[in-house]
Amino acid sequence: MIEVKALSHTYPDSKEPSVKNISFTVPDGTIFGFLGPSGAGKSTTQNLMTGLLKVQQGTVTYDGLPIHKQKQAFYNRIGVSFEHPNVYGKLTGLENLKYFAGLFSVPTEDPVKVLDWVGLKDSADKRASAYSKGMKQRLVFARALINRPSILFLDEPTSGLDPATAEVVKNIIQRKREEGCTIFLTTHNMYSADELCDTVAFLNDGTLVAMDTPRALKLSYGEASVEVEHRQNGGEVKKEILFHAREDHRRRLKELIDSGRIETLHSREASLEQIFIQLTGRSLA
Amino acid sequence: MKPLKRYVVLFSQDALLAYRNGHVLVVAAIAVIMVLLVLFLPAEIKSGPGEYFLDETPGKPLAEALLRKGGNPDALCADRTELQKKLTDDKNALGVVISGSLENPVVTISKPKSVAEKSMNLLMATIDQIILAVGNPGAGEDLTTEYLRPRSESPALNLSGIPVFLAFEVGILGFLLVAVFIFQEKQEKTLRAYRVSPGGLAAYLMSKTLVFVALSVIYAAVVVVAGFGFSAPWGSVMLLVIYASTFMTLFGAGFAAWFHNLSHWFFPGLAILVLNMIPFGSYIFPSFNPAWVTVLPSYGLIFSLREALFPTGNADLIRTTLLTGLLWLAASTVFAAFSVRRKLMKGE
Repeated sequence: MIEVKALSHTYPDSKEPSVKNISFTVPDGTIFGFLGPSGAGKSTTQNLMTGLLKVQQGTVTYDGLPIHKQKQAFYNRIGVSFEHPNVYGKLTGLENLKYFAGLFSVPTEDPVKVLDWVGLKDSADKRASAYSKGMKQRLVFARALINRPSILFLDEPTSGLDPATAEVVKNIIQRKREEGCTIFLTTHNMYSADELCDTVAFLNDGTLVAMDTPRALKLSYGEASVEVEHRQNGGEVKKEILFHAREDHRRRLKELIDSGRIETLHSREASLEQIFIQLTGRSLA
Repeated sequence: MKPLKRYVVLFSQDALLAYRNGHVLVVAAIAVIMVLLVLFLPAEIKSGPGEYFLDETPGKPLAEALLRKGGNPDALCADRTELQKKLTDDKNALGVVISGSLENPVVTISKPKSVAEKSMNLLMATIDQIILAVGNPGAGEDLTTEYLRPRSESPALNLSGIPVFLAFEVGILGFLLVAVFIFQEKQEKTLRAYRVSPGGLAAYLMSKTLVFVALSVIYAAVVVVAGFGFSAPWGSVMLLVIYASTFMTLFGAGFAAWFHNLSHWFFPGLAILVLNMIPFGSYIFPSFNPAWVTVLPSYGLIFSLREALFPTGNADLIRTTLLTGLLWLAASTVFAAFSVRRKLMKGE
């Protein structure tokens, strides 16, 4: 089990902490989704949890042992996929995986097989510098799987992927969970989180604003809402999501109806994005 | 066996990257240039005498004395016309005319160009010595010369550069290329992935060091074979090359860790390389050896390489350099480990 307690972090060049006193636990064999817009502190939290950043305040423990006391062998157990692809451009996709696999002192996957999982088998012998951004993203994801990790950290694994490829990646994530892998999924894609995660946590400006299962969050915060598209004075069409339970939103809806500028009006089911907007006043995108 | 596998894998990866980054090509190109210099530079540059003498004293005793002491007969002129012709033909030569008598000689030196004061003093002292010796046949006989070691022959011109080619090129290769390597990894951010693997600091440093030591050894072998064939003193030469390459690669890795990229590194890095090459001045002008130059690792290295390739019986110099080298290696390892851990392996 991963336990994060009262974790805070401030970068040297910044006055404000990027992560502010956050606490959560990730039970073994579950997918924990970390949702928030860009700059919310998601990647910083993942970097603190993997030891890439030194913990300044608070604790991160794995089965009770703090991250700073973990031996080098700890890294045999984890796989990390980064938001920004970081591969050796002068090596082929296969070489990138083959050499990385050689660093581990545990049984590793066959690199060709892993490339096949993510749809890169045909490009295995092509230099990574010739890969598209999406291909590099898949290569980084494949690299995270090479050591058969029991804990996976995935930072925006479907970012920049076409829907079909994103589906392939999501299927692999689900399969790893079924195999007992604990997965920490950082994303701003609410649909992926809703689909994959056992627990989701909302992070905004470095603070955890809510955390529960997607269903429980929807039950707690999900409110009936309408999506309104209306034409503004300048002629532009603007979309607004208005919640029935909020007095100011009801007033706004009436105002729009009275103005006669509404072009479309749809009722909406509660989504993680709505809940996030409701809690923070800002969008995930 | 597992950690050993890790070292082998990392070495293979870094060797492949060195090849694909063109580092191997750079080393090969430099080796070719050095081999061409060794093969095509003459063993010695033949030129006429630097000075022409005309002895106008009665009986020409000075000219005879010069010949007896092994002087070049071509340097002696019969009269002023011949002297003038030779000076016209060889515009860099000096003309020395000794007239008057042995008791009261008049020496005239004609200089076609500016000559270093040291050279002029040396020439004047030599002339004084000859005049004194001829005028006083017994003078100087109470002086004895004792050689501490057997006198060795001067190395051939084309071979004399080899210690320089080995000492400085190997150092530059290690120091510069490891920095290029590290900056590429910084740019590609591949170190972030390495840091969340069990790779570790020792394997990281060792694999890079081994790659550049291997390149240096191959480079040195090619240059030495070109100059000396296969019967060169391989043991001492290779130990010195391995020491130089290991030291400069480790120091270079530690140094590069403090900079963002090659542009940021360039001037401080260049300053280090220039500092490292200052002992080259001592090699060319042995009188230039201030204490601070003699403590530079490259100072002992270049003279030890010369001793290894052109032995004068001073094998202690090589032993001392290698033993002192162990201290330099320890210092560079600590520096590299500290810098790479602090700046590359740890987050802020």
